[in-house]
Amino acid sequence: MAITMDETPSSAHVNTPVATAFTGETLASVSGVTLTYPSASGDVAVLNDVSFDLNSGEIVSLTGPSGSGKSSLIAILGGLEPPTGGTVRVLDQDMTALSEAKRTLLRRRAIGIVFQSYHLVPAMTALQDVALPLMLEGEVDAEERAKALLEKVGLGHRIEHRPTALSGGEQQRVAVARAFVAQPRLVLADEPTGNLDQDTGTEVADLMFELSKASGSTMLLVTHDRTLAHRCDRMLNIDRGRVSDAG
Amino acid sequence: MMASLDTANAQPTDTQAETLWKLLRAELTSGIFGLRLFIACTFVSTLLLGMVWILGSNLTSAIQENGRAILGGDISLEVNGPPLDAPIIERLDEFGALSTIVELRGSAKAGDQRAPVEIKGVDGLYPLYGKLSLQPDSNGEMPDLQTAMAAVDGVPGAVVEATLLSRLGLGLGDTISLGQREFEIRAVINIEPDRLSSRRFLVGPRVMVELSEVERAGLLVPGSLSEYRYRVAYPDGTNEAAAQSEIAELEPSQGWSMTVTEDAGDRVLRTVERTTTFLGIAGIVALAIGLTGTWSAALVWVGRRARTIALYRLSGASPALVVWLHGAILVMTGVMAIVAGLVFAATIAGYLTSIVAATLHLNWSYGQMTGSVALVFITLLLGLAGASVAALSAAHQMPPGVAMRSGEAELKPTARHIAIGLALIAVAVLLAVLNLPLANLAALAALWVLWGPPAFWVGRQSCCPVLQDDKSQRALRRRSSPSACHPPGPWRFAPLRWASVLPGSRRS
Repeated sequence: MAITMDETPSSAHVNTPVATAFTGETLASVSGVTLTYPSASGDVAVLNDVSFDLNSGEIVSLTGPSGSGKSSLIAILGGLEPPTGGTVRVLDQDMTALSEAKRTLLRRRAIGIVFQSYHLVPAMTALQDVALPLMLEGEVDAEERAKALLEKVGLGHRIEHRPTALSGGEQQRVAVARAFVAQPRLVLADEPTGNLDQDTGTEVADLMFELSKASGSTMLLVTHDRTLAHRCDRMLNIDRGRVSDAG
Repeated sequence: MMASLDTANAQPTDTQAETLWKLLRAELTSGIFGLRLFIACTFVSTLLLGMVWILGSNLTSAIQENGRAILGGDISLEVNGPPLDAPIIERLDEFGALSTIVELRGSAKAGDQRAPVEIKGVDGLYPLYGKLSLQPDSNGEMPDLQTAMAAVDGVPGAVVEATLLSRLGLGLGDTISLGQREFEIRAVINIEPDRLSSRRFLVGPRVMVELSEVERAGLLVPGSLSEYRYRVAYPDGTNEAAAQSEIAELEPSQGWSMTVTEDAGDRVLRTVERTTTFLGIAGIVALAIGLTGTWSAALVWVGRRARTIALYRLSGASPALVVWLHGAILVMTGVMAIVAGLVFAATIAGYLTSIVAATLHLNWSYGQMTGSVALVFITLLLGLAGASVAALSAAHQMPPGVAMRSGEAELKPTARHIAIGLALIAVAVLLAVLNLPLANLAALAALWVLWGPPAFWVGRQSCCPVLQDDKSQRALRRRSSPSACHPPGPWRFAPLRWASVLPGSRRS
């Protein structure tokens, strides 16, 4: 299924919900990716010849020790940071070759990101925050759709609250709603339950699995939680910059 | 097979007014606390420059616009000592309405008290231009000058400044002696329109009487220090330059001093111009320093919003939208600060002008400030734009990946945008300089102000090679830290360090 990126904002080019999980298509492909940072004592290799594919509709976990390059991989897949070498293709687009404008559109229409520390826009209410990707797309019903999703994640009574008035669990649910509101093809979650207690973490994880399955989104879930990783369709492990299939 | 995305000809279209307005409303509703330093710097720049500029402009325009009233005619001929001969006076009369006055210093006597006074004898046409304002009488009616000076029961009238009444303990209806004649005080002078044309240093309060009565009082004897002024008001359509040349040819052997409206109040005008220029230089320094603060404060603000900007970008906002949004916030708060600064500046300058105008007997109204207020607004708007360019450039360059990193984000305004910002500030300063009366002097000072910091930096850099030799380096190590020659970090971060410790600079 192709997503168009013309200049006219309409809901047509935003994914329509896909009820089933796997479609067999490769949604994202990471091939021979390396990432090094210069430092005073020489270059530090963060990712070392990393290759893997993400298929449409699957939920994949990425585990590994701290500093192993999990977040860097998320940043590269989301087009937030360029790799030092190798290629990253998302929806058949070479992320390293795309212009900034096209990467921006790709993120807006096809990629949702959830962080460990929620990262909500401080000035915005929960409703505005969730509606942001739709608002940027020029959707006329942005707030109605955001409100419906907030009610679905159990925050219908908190839509006018700013982040400072929300608990950690509530903020993360808002962040999850924002990531899913445009029904993206790819959701990148960087330890989304890392800052939450066990019960709240499980609630948020359940929510993400539910939304991902309902929308048919592919989700790459970075986590330290082995139990959570085992719930995913596939597990990847990263250690010292190298990714291996863990089941 | 890979799922695909068609990106041909794709461009973000998120800078529509409606989207921008929604985001702007959300940002403004949550408060602008992070911009307090930015607002303060812009406000202070506006206040200081505006006060000096508006005050100077008020006084200069008041003097220039009152030129004819100050001179008392289109042309004035001043003679020390005896009056002009009758043939010349008859000839002058042919050029238009001719008014003659005489000024001399004398002593007013009331009972056993005396006070030095400035006597002015005026004819029936005085004043040709402007309006002599007298204090209303006890019935609240404004007395007429000629009526007040006319003889009643053989006693001529005099109008005087209030100072004389308090000095001699007199009131309206009392009499004073000038020379050999007594005058009844009939009214008090409020505004004397041609006061600034007096070339003499005024030592006492003004006493104004009929011209013929000055002679009758025996004050115009040979040898007395009197000054006659002959003022001509040309009829409409007169070629003033030609008339001036013809009048100049009439100059008597004793000589005269000819003044035209452009020169009226020139001494006062020169004083005002010099004072305005020197104050203006201080205003320009304040403008330059204030805009430097505005520049730094805007950069600090963008630096502290790095994660928020990155979140906008992560959600799919284009760099253009980020610039529009932050530009709109800076413009709205900056304009608010400028307007507030202008209100204060105009109020203070207007109050001071009204005091000076009353002292100099000038007609002036608050409406005359409009032009200078508008110019200050435009200048500050240019300065504000210049001071915001670097911050907006840094916002444009902010990568969305900043959201994933901890610590302060590095601000990277482009060199081209820094140059544009500096150029706009330079234009604002130049505009301020050119609007000062003595622009050359102000330009010299402005050059010093603007060139000072770069010159210091260049000097500092050029001293470094000298310090490369062992002897100099040893001396440097003894006296200071190793970093004395090389400041830590890029130069653009230097303002951030001091700005971050100022009050009001908290995370937004």
